[in-house]
Amino acid sequence: MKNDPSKGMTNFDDLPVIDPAVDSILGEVQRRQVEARLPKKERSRKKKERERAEKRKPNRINLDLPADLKKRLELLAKREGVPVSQLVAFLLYEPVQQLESRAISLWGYKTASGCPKFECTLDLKRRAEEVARKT
Amino acid sequence: MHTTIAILNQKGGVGKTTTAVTLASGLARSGSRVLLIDLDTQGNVADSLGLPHRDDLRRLLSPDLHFPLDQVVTASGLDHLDLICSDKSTTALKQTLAGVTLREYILADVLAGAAYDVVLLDCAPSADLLHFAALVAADYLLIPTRLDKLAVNGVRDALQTLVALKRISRCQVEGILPTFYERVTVESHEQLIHLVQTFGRLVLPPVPQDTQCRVATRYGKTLWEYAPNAKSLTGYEHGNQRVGGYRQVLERVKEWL
Repeated sequence: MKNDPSKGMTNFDDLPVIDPAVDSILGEVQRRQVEARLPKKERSRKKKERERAEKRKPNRINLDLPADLKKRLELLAKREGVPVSQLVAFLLYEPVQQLESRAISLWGYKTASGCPKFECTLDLKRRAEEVARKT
Repeated sequence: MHTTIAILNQKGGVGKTTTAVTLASGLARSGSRVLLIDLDTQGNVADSLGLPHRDDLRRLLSPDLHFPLDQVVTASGLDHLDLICSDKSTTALKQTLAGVTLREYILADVLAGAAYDVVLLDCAPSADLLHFAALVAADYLLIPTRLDKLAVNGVRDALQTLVALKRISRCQVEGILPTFYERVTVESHEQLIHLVQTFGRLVLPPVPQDTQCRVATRYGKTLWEYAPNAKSLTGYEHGNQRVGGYRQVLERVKEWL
């Protein structure tokens, strides 16, 4: 596209946005600089954490499942001859859609979390009992 | 109708020619018809592509010769990429043009109706007549800069020149390209922050310092041919993606077209 002469010269007044690639390079360098100042033990821990995170596939989630649910999923996957992760993904589509459209909610299952990372945790035991009672 | 991009910084050795040749050949590889014009008397565009110096520019612009564009272009040997080479005769050309009226428009006039998609102008590191003519002919200005104080001053000078020409130039500053970027040195990092704080979105992803650029030039090859996996092309690994490098810069430049 040809430059539009009516635009006039470059306007330097509205330039706060940073190119995302430049932003990530600057962030990476800053992280390295901060890490370089940490004690050796802390530095190697951070390095290991980063390496683990880099190895992770972007669309992979580690799930902590209750032992009985895990066992049931494995049995089902074996019976159907499919990978467990695909079975979980298959089963998730409907409830995810329902939660997005607010057809179901997490109300009643949320309890205050002791972890600073999350506001709440879910009472999975209660959920398991309720599903068992319904069926 | 073609888009004209001037690659310019009044400081020398900032990677103007490498940038011009790499972007021109990259655009040509993606199917655009590209004309790369060398406006520097050193004729380094021809060197970078393993070609002899020629006086194409003098034959094109000299008022007493005035060859048509299609008769002076040199085939680069790469598909879709033509060149107007330069050599020492460009010095005489500049002297000749000094007495010509409306000389600032000479490049714009010659390029009007050129049958290309993109015209790249590789400017000399000096504020001369061809430098002004390039800014008048160009739609967009790309300023490569090393990440040191003197080169960053060159960015300021280039912008001042553009402001001085605002009555006759409609050229927009579209990108400031940090070259020779060293992720491990504090100076590079601080100068990049300084550029970003001043020019924000205009700062393009930096091109890492890479010896392969020099080696490719020695063999007269483009980086795409000589070292397609060179750091200066592919940038840095960042998680699952790569950031910086000419490959990413090329994508940004394609958005201007």
